[in-house]
Amino acid sequence: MSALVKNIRSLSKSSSYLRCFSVRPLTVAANKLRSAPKHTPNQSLFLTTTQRLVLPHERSYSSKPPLSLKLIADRVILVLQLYDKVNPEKLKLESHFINDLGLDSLDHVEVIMAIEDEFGFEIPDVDAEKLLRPADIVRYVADKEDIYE
Amino acid sequence: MMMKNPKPILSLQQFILKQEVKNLYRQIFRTIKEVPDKNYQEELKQWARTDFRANSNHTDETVIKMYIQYGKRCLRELENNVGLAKAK
Repeated sequence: MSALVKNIRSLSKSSSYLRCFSVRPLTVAANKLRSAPKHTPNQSLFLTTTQRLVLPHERSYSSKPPLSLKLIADRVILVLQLYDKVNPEKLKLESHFINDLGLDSLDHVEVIMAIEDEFGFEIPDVDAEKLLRPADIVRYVADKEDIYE
Repeated sequence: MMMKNPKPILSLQQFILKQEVKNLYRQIFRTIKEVPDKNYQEELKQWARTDFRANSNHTDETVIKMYIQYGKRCLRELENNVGLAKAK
């Protein structure tokens, strides 16, 4: 195995084309190969080079998963369904918390706090007063996360 | 502490009191979230909920103000205890 790694290294040294890649991905690829030792050396060398060209050089830096309006709406609805005072059958994106779902203002405060927990940011009191429908919450979260689709 | 009649028209004074109650409720729940133990969190939440509900039928302003003061005192106590628990 180490012979193979050496082989790859020497190849990368000799060919200027491969030199533009860093050594780390090569070793990572070599590690991958070590776990699947079926290939003959020649084949695997071929695989690493093609794999390296195909794999995108993209890093997510442990950021949050991408959100879409649909996803936000689903999560909001899920949070509301799990709240015990909301009747899941009556619940729609357009239903009014106080008039349609029969919550009082204390329940409303709790709903907003549950949403805060779900999306991980704090909603100021002034804004919380205005979020009277699930649809309002979805729009508010989307504005906050810069999603316009 | 709150007027629960269907859609009562609140005077300014009542409206301000209602806001105050809601703010207190929110603050209490925010503080409860800082409590380290999950079981205690649930217990405290339940306690806060029942206390608010039990006193939600009062209409007299003096009584409501008194309960708000009581709630604030409890909140301060809770904050102190949470602070102590964290300092450990």
